Amino acid sequence: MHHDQTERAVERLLETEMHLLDQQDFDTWQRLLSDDYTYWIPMSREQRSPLHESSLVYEDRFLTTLRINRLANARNFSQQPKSRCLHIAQRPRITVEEPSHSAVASSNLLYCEARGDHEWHYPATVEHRLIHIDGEWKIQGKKILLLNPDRALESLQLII
Amino acid sequence: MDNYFNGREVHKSLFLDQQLFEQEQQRVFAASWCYLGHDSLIPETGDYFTATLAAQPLAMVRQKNGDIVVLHNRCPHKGVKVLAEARGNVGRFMRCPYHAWTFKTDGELLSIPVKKEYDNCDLSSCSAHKGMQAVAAMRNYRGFVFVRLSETGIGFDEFFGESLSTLDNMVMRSPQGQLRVIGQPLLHKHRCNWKMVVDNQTDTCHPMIAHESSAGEAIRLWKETGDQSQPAPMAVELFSPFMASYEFFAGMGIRVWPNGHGHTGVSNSIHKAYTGIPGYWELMVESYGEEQARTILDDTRHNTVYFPNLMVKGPIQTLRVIRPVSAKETIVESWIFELQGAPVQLLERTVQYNNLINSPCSMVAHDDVEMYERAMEGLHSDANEWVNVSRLFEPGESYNRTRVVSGTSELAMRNFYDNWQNLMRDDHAPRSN
Repeated sequence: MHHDQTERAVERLLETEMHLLDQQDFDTWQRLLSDDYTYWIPMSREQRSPLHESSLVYEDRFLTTLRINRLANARNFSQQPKSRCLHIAQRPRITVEEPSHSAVASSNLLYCEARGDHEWHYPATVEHRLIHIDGEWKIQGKKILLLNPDRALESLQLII
Repeated sequence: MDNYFNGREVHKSLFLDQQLFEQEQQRVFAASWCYLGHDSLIPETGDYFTATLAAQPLAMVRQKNGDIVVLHNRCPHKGVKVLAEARGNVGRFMRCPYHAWTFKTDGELLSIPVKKEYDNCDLSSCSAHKGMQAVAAMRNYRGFVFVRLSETGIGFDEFFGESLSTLDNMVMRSPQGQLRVIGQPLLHKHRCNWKMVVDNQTDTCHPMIAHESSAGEAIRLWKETGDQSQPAPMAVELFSPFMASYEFFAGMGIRVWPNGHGHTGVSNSIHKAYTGIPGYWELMVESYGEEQARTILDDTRHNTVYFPNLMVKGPIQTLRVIRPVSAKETIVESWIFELQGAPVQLLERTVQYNNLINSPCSMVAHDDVEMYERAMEGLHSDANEWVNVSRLFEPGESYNRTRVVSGTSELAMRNFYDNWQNLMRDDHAPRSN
């Protein structure tokens, strides 16, 4: 695949992803993920390991599916009323690694979540790890570097 | 009004009233032994760790001789906080960035630029002469540093008594008898009163109800999609016990101790059935012998509440500091520990537990917080001024003794509120039981 074409395909994927998350169309969104997908929000920008230190989130497909199923559960008390979210992103910087059919995209983002009378805003840098499998780009991993992961946060319920 | 707790109910003002909150900071927090931090946060000479306790900015500093000193983090000159970071090293001495007053690592005033200009002021009769003052009382108990802010009050050993057995057990789960703090604590802000969070720690009748959407869903999802010939993922193992029955929780028992402390999980607990970690048992036997190793590992206490605001989970090596910010705001800090000399898989389980249960992104915590925050709204109702804590109340119940009762009793809450009320009434006077 041509380099420019790859970049455009990755950009389109990220755009689609944000749209689906904001629409809370999680079934379609999950089809964008590879089976070995991981989602990581470290506790500090320097954190090296998700396994040996606490993280705000470190989850695999199973846990992500669980998180999504919970949102649809009749007894999801913290989602009554429901939360909404909005991803406002800058154009990603994309590095393509042709030999491994993979790419890394880094985007600055303002993630907003709202529920009832409350609204929260989280500036962050999102690092997407992308992989080309069977003719399609999939999201293999997301690492979210919050601008200030040190501060005490209120409940953050949806997916950045 | 001074009858906030009538044996079976607590008054709603305990959760809503800001004036009561300020009194509570003085009478309850300053008079109690409160946990400040673990000494593994400051291993080297000059290392410091800062925290706020009952609105007091404090710092614990490692001295040259290995001791720890806890100081009020305030320059005696103009009041500037001398140590600004959460953690750091002071070097050979501490220096205020405003006018370069310097202090020894134990807080003693070392020098003032152009000090002769104070020659005629009789500085020794000013408060500033005292330097950065140490807290009234501190104790490093097996690495856990506790302080009492008020000059008078109950002694450490009397305050905790047998309840220290939970900390002993967590320490001894390390084959080397040493714990080490790992990383930063998760910080989750709740719009609720801190006592609601404390209350929740020994509330065994809520998990299967409030956490059905997460824990129940985890069990269902694994059943439907998992390969049943394989062991369940760690997350399922950690979540599943939340859905245990009332009978299970009743059977695990609750123990209360004098001065408001108590724990769930006397003879069994939700932390009992975790999969063994290869090699750990052998290391424990090597250190303690088979009999003692078994005693240590069979004691799987669930939540131990140390009055007023510390909760310890020995078997999974986590603790929560429930920090009051105002009557209506609380920050829960969740710390994790490594058992020195134990296989790294134990730390991995602890990390995963902390992420899954204690993070602001935790699907379990979301439902707890929702309950607290709805209670903060619901309690504004004038229809009923009381919060009920009477489950398994026994007429004529008394609190200042060690007792074991059914695990679904709310005795640990009553024991907590009784001590809270005694302290609110007696204005710093030392208590005897």
